[in-house]
Amino acid sequence: MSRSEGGIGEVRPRIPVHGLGEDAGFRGGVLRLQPDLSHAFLQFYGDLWSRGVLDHPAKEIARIRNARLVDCGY
Amino acid sequence: MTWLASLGPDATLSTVAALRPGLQPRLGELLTRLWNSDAVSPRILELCRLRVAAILGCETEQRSRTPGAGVDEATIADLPDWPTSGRFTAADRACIAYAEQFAMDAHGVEDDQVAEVRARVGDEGAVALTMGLALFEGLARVQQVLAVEVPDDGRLWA
Repeated sequence: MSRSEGGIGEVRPRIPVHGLGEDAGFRGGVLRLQPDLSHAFLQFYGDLWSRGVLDHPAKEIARIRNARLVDCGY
Repeated sequence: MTWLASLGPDATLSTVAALRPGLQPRLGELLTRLWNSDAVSPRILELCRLRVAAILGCETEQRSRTPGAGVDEATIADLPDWPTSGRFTAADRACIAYAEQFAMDAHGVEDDQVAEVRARVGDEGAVALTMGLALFEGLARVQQVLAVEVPDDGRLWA
């Protein structure tokens, strides 16, 4: 996506995915161009979130704090 | 020496990841899919991995090598001079520049820079490369904060 036009509501994908709207999002958008890789990523990400000794709230707090630090509106 | 004393002084990324038994094979599979992707060459991934490692100051990643990536030591030695060195192709340069900006300030990546990467490796390659950069940066930071060592064989992921 491009942020060259300002706020998060105005971003547009930098890599278009044919047949999908511009608001298709991360999982439903560009990851479709790499189905094997995205499948492996989502398996990894799913395990990260659903298992382990850290509880869900702790992981979510860390995720949101990281997103704020790197200024990612998503 | 790693902070994770229970693993001993020679802990590697793989042994650290093994502390989460379910997660380790998932991470291994993800890395395997990335390096075996047809969309972007192992050479470009290796050059970008090493460049990201240098920017982040991750010595472990810088010392490690990916078998079969097709990058010789002379090319690695020239990596800091990638804009002018004759060892790098136009595709190499487009992707390394993108990797540098990704690691230094992702918000600073410009439309033209993404367009150049897409022109060199295609849309599928650009997605694979970007996911690779995210992995390289994340794993470099894991190794930095946990003080992980490079295995004797130089392979980061055993």
